[in-house]
Amino acid sequence: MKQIKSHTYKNYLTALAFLAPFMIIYLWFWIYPILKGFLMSLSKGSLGTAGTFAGLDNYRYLLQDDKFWSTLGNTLYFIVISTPALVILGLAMAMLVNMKLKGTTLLRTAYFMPYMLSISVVGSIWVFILQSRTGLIASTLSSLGIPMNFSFFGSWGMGWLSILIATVWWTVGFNMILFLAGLQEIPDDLYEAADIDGANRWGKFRYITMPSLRGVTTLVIILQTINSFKLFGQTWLITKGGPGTSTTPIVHYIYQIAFRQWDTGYAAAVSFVLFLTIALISLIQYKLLMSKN
Amino acid sequence: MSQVVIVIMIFSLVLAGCSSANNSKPQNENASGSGNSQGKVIELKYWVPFSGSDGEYMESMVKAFNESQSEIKVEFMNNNWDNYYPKLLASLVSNAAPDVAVAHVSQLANLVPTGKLEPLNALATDAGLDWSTFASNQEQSVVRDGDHIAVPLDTHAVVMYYNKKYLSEAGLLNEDGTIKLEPGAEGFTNMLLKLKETLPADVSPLIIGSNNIFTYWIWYALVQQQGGTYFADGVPTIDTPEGKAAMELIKSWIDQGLAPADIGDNSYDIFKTSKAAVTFTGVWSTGNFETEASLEFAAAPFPQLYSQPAAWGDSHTLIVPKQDNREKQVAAVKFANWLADNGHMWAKAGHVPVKPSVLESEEYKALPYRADYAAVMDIVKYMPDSQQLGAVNDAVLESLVEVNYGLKPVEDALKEAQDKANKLVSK
Repeated sequence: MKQIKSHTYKNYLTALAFLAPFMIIYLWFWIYPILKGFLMSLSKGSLGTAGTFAGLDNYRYLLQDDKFWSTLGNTLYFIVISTPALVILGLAMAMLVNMKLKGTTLLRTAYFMPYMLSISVVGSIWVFILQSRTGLIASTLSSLGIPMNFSFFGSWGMGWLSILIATVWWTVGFNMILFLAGLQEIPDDLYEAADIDGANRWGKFRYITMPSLRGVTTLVIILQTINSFKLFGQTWLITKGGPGTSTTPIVHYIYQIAFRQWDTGYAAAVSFVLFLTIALISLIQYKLLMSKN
Repeated sequence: MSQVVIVIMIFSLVLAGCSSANNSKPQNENASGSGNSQGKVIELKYWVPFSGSDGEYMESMVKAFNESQSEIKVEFMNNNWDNYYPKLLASLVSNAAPDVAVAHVSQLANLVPTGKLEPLNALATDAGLDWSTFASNQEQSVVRDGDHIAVPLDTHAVVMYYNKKYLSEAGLLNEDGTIKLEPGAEGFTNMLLKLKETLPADVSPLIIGSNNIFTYWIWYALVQQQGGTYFADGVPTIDTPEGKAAMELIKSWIDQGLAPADIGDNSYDIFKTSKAAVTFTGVWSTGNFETEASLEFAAAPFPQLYSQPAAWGDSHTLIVPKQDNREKQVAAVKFANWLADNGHMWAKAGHVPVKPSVLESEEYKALPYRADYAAVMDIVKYMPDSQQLGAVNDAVLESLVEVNYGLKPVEDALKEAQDKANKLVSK
């Protein structure tokens, strides 16, 4: 008995020794900043000056801050409009590419390439395409004699449409890859058996493809939701959060609080609330989507 | 064998990463190695936020300074402009600041509370800097509590550029190249209306950024021209009759088809490619417009449309952080003074030099366009000294952009902006 125990103890120590380098980095660059951030949210004071302890003041302020609620609402709105688009399009693209017809390899590369660009490049590209007068769409239309008398940035609806288009173009490739991996896991003989039974395209999709992709779909939906919560670069670069604050999501607002208002305490508080919100929603999603088993 | 290759590759990547980290290459590591018979060369670290086209002009000025004398050697480090101030602020607070750094006048309110900016009057005497050689508007803008806390470098303002071809075709050009303008806002608007009659259909009389910071800057200037204020005694004054009149004027230009709606940073290109006749934009555009051979343009200070001359502008200044080595601080002030004295070099970037002697010099007068708007520096109304300035500007701009897009009437927008500003300042 003692021999087995010391053997396990040794294993434990060895494991710890291997994990230690990563754990040190993880604790120092991940866990410590999160804790420090929480402590910062309990203090008042601007960037550069020492903070004074303020308890839950920042959280109390948050509850009555209209811009917090409106930007949180904007973020949830974006999640609602973008998640179905990104999941369904990702799946559709993956199925197209999976058909292994001529040219699908090229398509796969083309669909994925935007994902490799940095947000600054994506922002510049879409401003160039969508802006009035000098933009790609505007000048193409005007050379055809059609004046572009609407604006991609001029209203709440058009602003969000622009952000949606840019985001889908940029990130749908990632979902496609995840779905592709899932599709390729499905054994071919399932489809062959269905063919023998006389199933049509829709039948095969509904009774073989979709159930087999349950795990991947859950993953994609949860990851997509988390990513959409973090929306910032596109609104900062393309619509500047406007007009007014109609396309300002919550991370954009956090940036403004920290680096325009210099209020790091309040920014930390809003960040922390965002963190809890994302954690809660991800948990709910996971429970809902996986429980159908 | 392949492991050795991998190690060599990683090693060379690390080396490459280390050497590209800073902009300037120190020629010799030891401070006293330049063969100066006086003793050690004073080395200064100098930070600037000129990640746009200005950067190269400042770099060549630093080079010229270093070559012109052998007591002081300045190490130039350029930074990304959009997160320069958090970086500078953090460095001041953590005592890791450079020896001398550029800071906008409008940002001094954020830097002064750190207590790490050295007041300069005493240093200026030792460095041979005479405050009276600076233009008074700019020299006054850096005084806090009776002492100067920065050395002004330039003024950069929003001024007027116009396409001479279009103006003359409309019969609106005087003999001396200035615009035939009746006084007041009405006169200006009538001029734009006249332009509209003769311009081709795809050319706008006026082009301004309608969904970006330019709307705020132009509105600000028009409010100041009416004798209005932005802050009074530390309290924002946004919802005022002057504010309303200014925004109604801007909106009227859009409504009458004199300026297109939904214009952002492409306003530069539109003027540059002769798709607009008049533009209000920053002096920094001069260098950009000059490169377009087909563009016949002229520049002038921001026109006076109300009872007082005024323009929006800011200034670059040089701050000297506190440190133990006073010798370096005196050297920093000497360097700042040299930059101001050689403002004709900096003026190539379009900015207005800060010393009247430079404005009179042959080298400055020989530069095209720049002397035509130099007078704007005297009418610039600097923004108020407030740590909440950036946040309040953003809040006001949000509301003004909604007016430009026709989403809110002027009264509601200004009231909303006033509420937001009050909340921010009282936080």
